[in-house]
Amino acid sequence: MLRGTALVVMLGAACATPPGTEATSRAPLGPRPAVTAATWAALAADPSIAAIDGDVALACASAPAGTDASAPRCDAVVIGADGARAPLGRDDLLAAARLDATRLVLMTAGGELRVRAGGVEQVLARDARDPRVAPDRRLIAFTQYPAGGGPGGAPGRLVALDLDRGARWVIADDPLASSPFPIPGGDQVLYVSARTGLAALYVAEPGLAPRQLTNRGRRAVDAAFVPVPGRELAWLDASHAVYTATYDGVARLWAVDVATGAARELGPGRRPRAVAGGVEAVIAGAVRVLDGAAIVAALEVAP
Amino acid sequence: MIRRVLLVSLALATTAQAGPYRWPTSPAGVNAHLDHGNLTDYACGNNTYSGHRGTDIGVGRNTQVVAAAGGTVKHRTDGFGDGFIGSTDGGGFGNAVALYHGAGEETIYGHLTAGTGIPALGAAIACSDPIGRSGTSGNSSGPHLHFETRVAVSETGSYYSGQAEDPYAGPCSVAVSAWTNQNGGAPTATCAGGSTLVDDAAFVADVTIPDGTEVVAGVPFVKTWRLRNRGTSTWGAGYQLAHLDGPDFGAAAIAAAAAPGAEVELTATMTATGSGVVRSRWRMTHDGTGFGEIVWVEVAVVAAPSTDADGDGVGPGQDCDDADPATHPGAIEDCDGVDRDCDGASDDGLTRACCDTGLEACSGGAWGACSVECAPVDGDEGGCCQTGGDGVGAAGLGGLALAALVARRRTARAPARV
Repeated sequence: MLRGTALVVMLGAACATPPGTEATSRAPLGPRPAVTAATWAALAADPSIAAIDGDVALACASAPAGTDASAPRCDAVVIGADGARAPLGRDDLLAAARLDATRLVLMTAGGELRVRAGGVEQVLARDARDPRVAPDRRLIAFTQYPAGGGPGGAPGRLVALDLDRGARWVIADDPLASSPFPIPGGDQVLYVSARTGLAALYVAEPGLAPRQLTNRGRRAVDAAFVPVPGRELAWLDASHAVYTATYDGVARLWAVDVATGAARELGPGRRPRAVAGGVEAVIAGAVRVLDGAAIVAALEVAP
Repeated sequence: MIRRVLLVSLALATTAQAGPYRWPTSPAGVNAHLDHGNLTDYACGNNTYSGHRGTDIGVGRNTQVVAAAGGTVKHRTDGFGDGFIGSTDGGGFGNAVALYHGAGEETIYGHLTAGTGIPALGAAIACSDPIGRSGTSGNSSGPHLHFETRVAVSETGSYYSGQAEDPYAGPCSVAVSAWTNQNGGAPTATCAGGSTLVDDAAFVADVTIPDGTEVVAGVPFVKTWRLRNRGTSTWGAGYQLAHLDGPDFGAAAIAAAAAPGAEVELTATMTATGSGVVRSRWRMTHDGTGFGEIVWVEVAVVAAPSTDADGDGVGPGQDCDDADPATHPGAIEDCDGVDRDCDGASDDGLTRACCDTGLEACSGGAWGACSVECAPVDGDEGGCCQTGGDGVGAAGLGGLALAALVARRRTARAPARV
């Protein structure tokens, strides 16, 4: 309770102060997921599980078919080491993630980004959507709209919260930016934008212009188009990520090097998560390990 | 109740009528209308949700979406995958098109499928022109088309300036419908000028060269697709299946003719070069404008064979048995249950002459009975003058060799004559 309150106060005080660009300590990636591979596969096969971050799943009772409805009746569920599910008992969430051993990050359908500890919740931001927590649990990145706004044409922007330093800054003031993924160990954020009319991956870093990684010079989807991620992305290290690109109902895994922009399709699969030595993903219903060194080597020769 | 009356009064006093617009896709129900406040739709029902600014049309994936009226592409996004509730891809619309119709009027088409013919920024679009296919990109719970009409939009400013307006007239909405024909709540597909013709094409099957087929670099192959005319226009002059992207494999556009609802097979002779898996995408066009589903040919190109192990003139990649010189494309089939000509079928309906005027057919690698009876000749136990699989009997080698050769032709192509 005290910790959560202190966090909010700290963030509020530093709200207008963007972080410097000096090197920061590189925190290691998060701990190995507590959820077993068998449970991971079972969660992937469960149509009610809309998303999962470490041991926190977003479980949705049902969704109205074919609308932009903002009330899909979802709850956060903490998955135990034995696969047991402990729901929070809510039905108004759009996202949930693990912040640390005692805290969760939640986002409500009303656009409130909250931190929850010991059953008590504090609001971190309002008019927010689509938050993601860095693997090192330091940054939270999300889309924020003008007061009272939300997705559906209103111009939003990407915002980052640094939980260690109590800072908040704008990642990209780009109304067509979305899906921010904090890059572990620093202030960089990988995100998607359609500012050219075509979705592509970009990297933002405080004080620098956004850097387009993929689909440079393209204006339409063609044979060389590099798909963009939706919800699912796992970091091999601070430079390489594996993500799910689901198009027309078909999920395929892609890898990207955020230093060079090289990208490569890995094949069918979804729900990637970082494990020792690489990435686990659900492929044809079973969890398989993709060797990290092989992925990095493949990216080095990718176009 | 008082509040509702006030809402109606305000609605009736709003801006001039927009449109008129045609229904922008196939006939379908509405999953959610524009919210006039308090979860009230245009007819004072509750088929809406809080703050919804458009009409969610319940079409499935990849249904053709067309322009509701002529206009210019003021905004477009493409390349997003399937979305989810809470996604902010493309500002929540995912892959989308905004058409500016002049006089501050605009229509928006949201949640389209990536790479389905979303037109370029600034393109001039006529009513009923295809502008993409439905999907579930962006902030979406499942496939549908978010159709939004806006008024007082800045011609040079943001596509999302002005405000949303309900195209449906009703007791809780505007007094004048923006549809060309609201038709009691099921708007028609009639453009302001009266045209309802829609170009659309659906992929049916790969007749030849399914995905992943191995071909040899430099060796021509024949690709055939089967497409269905899923629109309301008749394909003829000006309609072609044209190369879209990837290598064209040396093939030109293919003319297409089909009535609405009819299927047609479209064929091109292609030659791949290089190596590896290569995809060439093609799409129907009408006077150069693309429409319908994209089709492709995807082949695994292998280098021309450097060796021919069995010396039959055809190397690996084309020869289905490079250890048997009697088996290769172009080889003559035998009645032995083996696919000699590498066409995927053995024996190929072989027949051969027998008993001067008869015919016997090959089945399962063995010859059947002769269709006529004749007197036994020397050494024959049966009732026919020639039996056995090699076609050589005691009636004279020269004539029988000719008979056997003729019999190796497929009966469908050349009925056996002796």
